[in-house]
Amino acid sequence: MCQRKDDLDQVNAQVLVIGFGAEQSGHHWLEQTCDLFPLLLDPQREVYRMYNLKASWLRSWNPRTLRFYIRALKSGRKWRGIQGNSNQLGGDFIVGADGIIRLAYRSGEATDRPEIEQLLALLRTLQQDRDPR
Amino acid sequence: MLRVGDKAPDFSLTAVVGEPVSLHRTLETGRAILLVFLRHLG
Repeated sequence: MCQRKDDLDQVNAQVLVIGFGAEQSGHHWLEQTCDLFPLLLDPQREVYRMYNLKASWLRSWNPRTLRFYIRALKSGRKWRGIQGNSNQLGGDFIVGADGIIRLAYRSGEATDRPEIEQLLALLRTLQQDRDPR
Repeated sequence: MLRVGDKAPDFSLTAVVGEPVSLHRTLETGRAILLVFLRHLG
């Protein structure tokens, strides 16, 4: 996502990253991953529940997830443990400028995310709908 | 369950760096928003 910031700017989209855990963990994430977008903290996961994002041990800890973490550690990423519910799944939502949900992608497993091209295509469509020049 | 076509519920969360952020206030800029919910911060 960070590598595609210019593309996201071109489609005039704002990105809000939402996580849970302590503020210190948030700073660590910003250092290790990406500090180009705001990271908001939802310590009680109320917004996660509001957006119907589930926690699942079975979906969170499978061989694909473990391979992902091993690759991340091998690439030099520092591991500081997981705060809060380690079974929480993530997701991606696109909210149009009119406040209507245009994409509701709830991860089926830990490494399940939509392709950035899919996100950009939808954001491009929304931008064209707003500004049909 | 929230679906495509539903109105996005508002929320206000504190940013790790910066001010509290409200979804509906952010929408006042007239731009679409991509919400990325992380699995965890580890």
